[in-house]
Amino acid sequence: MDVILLAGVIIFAAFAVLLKDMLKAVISLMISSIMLGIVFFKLHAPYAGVFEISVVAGLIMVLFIMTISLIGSDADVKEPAVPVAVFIVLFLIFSVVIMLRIFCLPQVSHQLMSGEQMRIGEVLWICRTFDMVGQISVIFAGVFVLLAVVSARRRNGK
Amino acid sequence: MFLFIFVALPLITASFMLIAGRFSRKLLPDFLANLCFFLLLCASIAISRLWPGAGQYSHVLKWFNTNLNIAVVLDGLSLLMIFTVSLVALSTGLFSINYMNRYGSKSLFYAILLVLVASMNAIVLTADLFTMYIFIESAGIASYGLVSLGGTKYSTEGAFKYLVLSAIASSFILLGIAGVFVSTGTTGIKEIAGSGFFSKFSVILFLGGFSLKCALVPFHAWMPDAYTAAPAVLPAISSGVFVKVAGIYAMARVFFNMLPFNAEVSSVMVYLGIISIIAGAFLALGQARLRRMLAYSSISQVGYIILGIGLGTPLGIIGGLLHLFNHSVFKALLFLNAGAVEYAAGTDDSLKLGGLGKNMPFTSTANIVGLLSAAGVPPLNGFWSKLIIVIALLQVKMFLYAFVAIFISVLTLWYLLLIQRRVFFGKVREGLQNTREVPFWMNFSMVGLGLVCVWAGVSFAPVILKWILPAANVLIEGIRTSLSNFVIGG
Amino acid sequence: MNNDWMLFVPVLLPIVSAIVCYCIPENFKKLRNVFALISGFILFLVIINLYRAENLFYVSNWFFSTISFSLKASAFNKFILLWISIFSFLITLYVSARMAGERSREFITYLLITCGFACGAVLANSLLVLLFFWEGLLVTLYLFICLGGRENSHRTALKGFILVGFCDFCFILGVILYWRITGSFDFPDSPVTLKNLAVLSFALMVLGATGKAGALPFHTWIPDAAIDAPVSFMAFLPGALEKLIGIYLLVRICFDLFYLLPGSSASIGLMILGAFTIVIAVSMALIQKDIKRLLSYHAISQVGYMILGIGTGFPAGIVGGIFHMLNNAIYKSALFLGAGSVEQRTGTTELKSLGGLYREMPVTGLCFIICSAAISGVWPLNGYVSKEMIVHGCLETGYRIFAVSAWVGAILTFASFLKASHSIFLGERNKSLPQIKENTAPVLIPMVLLALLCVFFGLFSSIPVNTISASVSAANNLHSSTHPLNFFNAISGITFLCLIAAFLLHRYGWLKNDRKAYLASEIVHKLPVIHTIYDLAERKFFDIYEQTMKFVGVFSLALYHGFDRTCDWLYENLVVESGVKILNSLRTIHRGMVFSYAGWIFAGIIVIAIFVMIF
Repeated sequence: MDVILLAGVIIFAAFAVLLKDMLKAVISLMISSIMLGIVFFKLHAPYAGVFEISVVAGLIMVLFIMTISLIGSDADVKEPAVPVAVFIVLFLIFSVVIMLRIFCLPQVSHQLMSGEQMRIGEVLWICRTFDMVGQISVIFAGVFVLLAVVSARRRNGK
Repeated sequence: MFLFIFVALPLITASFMLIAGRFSRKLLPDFLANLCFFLLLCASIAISRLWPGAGQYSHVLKWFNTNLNIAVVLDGLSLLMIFTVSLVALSTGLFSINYMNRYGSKSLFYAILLVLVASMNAIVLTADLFTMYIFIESAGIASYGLVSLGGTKYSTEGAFKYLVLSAIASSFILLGIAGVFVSTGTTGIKEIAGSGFFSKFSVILFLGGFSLKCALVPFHAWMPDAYTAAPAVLPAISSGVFVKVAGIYAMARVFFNMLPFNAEVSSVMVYLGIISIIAGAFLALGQARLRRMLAYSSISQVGYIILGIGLGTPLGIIGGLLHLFNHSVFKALLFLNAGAVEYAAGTDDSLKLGGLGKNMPFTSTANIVGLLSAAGVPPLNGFWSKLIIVIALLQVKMFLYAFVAIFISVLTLWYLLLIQRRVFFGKVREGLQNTREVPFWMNFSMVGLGLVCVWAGVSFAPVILKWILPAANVLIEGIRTSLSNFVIGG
Repeated sequence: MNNDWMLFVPVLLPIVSAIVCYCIPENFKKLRNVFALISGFILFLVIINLYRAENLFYVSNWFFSTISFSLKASAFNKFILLWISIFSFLITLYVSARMAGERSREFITYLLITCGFACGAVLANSLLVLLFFWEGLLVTLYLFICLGGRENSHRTALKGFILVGFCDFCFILGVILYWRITGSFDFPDSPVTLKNLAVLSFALMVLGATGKAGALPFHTWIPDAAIDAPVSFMAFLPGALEKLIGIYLLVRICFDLFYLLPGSSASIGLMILGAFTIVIAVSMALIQKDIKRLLSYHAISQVGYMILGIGTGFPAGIVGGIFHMLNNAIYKSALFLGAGSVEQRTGTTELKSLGGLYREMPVTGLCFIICSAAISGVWPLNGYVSKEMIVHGCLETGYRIFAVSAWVGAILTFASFLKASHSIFLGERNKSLPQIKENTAPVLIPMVLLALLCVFFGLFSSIPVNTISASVSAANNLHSSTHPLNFFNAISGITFLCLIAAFLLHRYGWLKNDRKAYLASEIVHKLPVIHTIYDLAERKFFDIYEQTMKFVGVFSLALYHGFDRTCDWLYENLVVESGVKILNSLRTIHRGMVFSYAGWIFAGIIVIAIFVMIF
């Protein structure tokens, strides 16, 4: 199951980079992130899972989508095929290497993993309050940036 | 509680900023934001006065006797970083009073800047790896916002590139954290260090991720595009402190205080450093646009820092950290100067400029101070840090590296003088006769930073003793612990 | 001592007043000049005060108590310091009258900063402190040449910067080696013997010091700067200050840091460097047709004498070398100032278009001629005494060839200065020149003072000679009685014969060339028929003199193209071209494409991964 999920993460991440349609690319990146979050939960890392899903998959993706819908096709740069091909090859090599290493990692015994039985809310509010501040800061940043981008576009449009 | 204001105060001010923006378009946001930065600077200086000079102060926040589980940790290294962040934040904040008038809503801008500062302070103060990651992410989003404030096609493009590439960095770091977490069951830096955990998997990912944040070659490509497109305040604060906090500080924390520092990490850091030094300098030489050149120059200078810290010898770490502080100051100064030039003349393309020194004496003088400092000309601050790094290299018998370090600093002087001559010296170019010196606050912050350069250069011994040495001791202590663990472990 | 703080005054006072000068706006130009002059004068007074004080010594821990920041004023330092302040003051006076506008503000600022840094370099009692100020001087050099405002000024500035920078780099390497040998950056109590690594360190340091003073082979920027930089810069830096501090450092290196034994291979090496510098530079000077270029080649050639003298290692030579440095600074800056004065009035420095100016500019002319005589070593001027002492020192080593090179240099120097003075001030007046007047007082005063000094030091040579020999420990046992410095001895006879030979050479050449266009009227020369007749006549009168001169000319040209220009070519092609190539290729791979960037990132992390795993 883990392997399938990890493969999914990589495949969707690759889609995210390769797809020409920005919206689809962003959505596949989001799926990739959510799968990664699930992998975290499965690997007994509920904290990491929660934040991967909420921060990366949630907020940054909203940001991406908003930005792209605002920009339209401005940021579309024509890229020659060679760098893309090289990139894909390198990315695959990297992924394989990382995958192989992941399974070699020593694992801590499950009794030590206190977070295993916790629910998301408990994790957030009781154990990781500083991360909540971080979450707030990320949300602030996201909202301000969105407003700023909108106003910058509006100013520029005039 | 006192330490937490470094995170809480900017965040609270940021949340008030939008309301403040309703009442007053300029005055109130200017005042609030700069007051906040000023208070932070005062607080950091006050803490340094109270600071015994060694050890670690950790504190768990309480709210009416309820444990909040917010643990803030302060040691020499965090103190140095907090001081640097506050200093650069205040100067960019003051600079923006006049400069940001051209970039739309000021309250929004200040709100983003405040979030950025709060995030950087939190990165420095937290004792938890994952919290660090979240704040790195938050600071990344805020800088993305500052890039896109430019409002042009290029700035959106630069911002997009920045977002994509820094997402790669984030995923590297996150994967690395996951690796650590799987094996130790915790993300607390101290706990991980206590467990004696070491894994090449995490080392590789952390190296990659933080190098991307530091913009070391070959992970540097996001930097020039993002910096060229943004308002000049972003490169000043980003190259000035964000790169240091999210890249160098995090790297040092992770490799010195969390994982055992060993020879391979050291040599990777040294190689990355030296490649960045060389490639950055040569790339900078070919640039005509001020900010692009400064961005490449930043890459080269960050290479010096990483080279110094990566050596792992006490002298190297001192040199690296001193250069970190110095580079924050003079690179922020140079980027602000570039912003001032653009503000006054409408472009920062050095081929279209010339003879601005006549009408802009303050900017020109501040720029000379900054560039001489960057090139390592005595008695300015950049000289001392480079000297210490070179001596540290000689100490470990890396003669070739020492030679390269000296050679590139000559090259740095060359390209920076070239730009100074093109922009400020010589005859006034057609159409630029009517340029005026920039308004008061811009001058004020540039001159202030220039004075800091001179001050830190002339009285570098107190600077080292007061700020750098405690910070270096934190890292040296980390190495010592890992060495002794190694000996005990077998 | 409580007044050790006084050591900081010569360093800080000029720098602070430089900053003040820079801030005084253009509308108060007079105020600025007056301020600069006053601060120059105060500096002079302070140094006089220092001179009277006991040996001052300031030391503080600078860097974790491993490296100390120490300044020290011993007899020799104070002597050099005094002259630095005098020259700075005189040049400030000259500049305040001559330069106008923005340039004078920058010039005065740089001048004062240079003065402060030079004082710092001289006072430094630790090699690191010395380096600190030494590198600062490099920057002001660049800025100074940039002020020339000519088309090539920036190029020349860069050339000077790189050449001198290379010398400084050698010096740094030498210092680092020295640190390895002795384990300290301070000036040692007892000098290090020259063996093994110390020889390399010595050679590198000497290269740095002599390169700063302008010796071969790093001299090529000086003649270029003569054209492209302001003439007052030439009088100040290559004329006076660089000699003072360069030779000061050489003396410190030879006798305080290391122990230079007379007759050792290091001593011979130094003397060879000196002899080559004399002969090559002076033969290049001989063919120059522009007074500033001619002077600049002499500025190089005179360094040869100083190195030769100090290289002997004998008291007579050392004192002679140092005295010659002082003399050279005096008359060379006066000559440059004279050339500047002529240029200001006539608008040219080409010998061809000048002539007979003595009547209109008698003061300038007289000063110029006195200084020309002094540089050529005419009795009883100061140049004569110092050259005599150097020749004595050379003969004492037993290698006569070095004395011969000094004499050859003397002949050619005198010949070229006869040519220069003759074609500027004497002879027929060039018709194309406008009516001119003598220059103003602030321009003349420095020249007159310097010329008077030439005479004074010639007549009362024992004053400076005794001061120098008392202040340099290696030359303490010099007695005027053992080295007769009076006019009547065999060596001075030879020198006198050299001068006569030079005079005859010049006179003969002048007579032979009388029919050439050189001194004749230009209008007649340009007539079509007569022009060809002149050419034929020139070929007809092809005699030994011509041949010799041609040989010398060809030799000089060959040197110019073969050596001088080769260095130049290498610089142009190797450094500049290859730099441009690398830049372009680097730029082509930064085209702003996300995919290639991401590709690098992954390539990078894979390389790191492989490295970490294999390790």
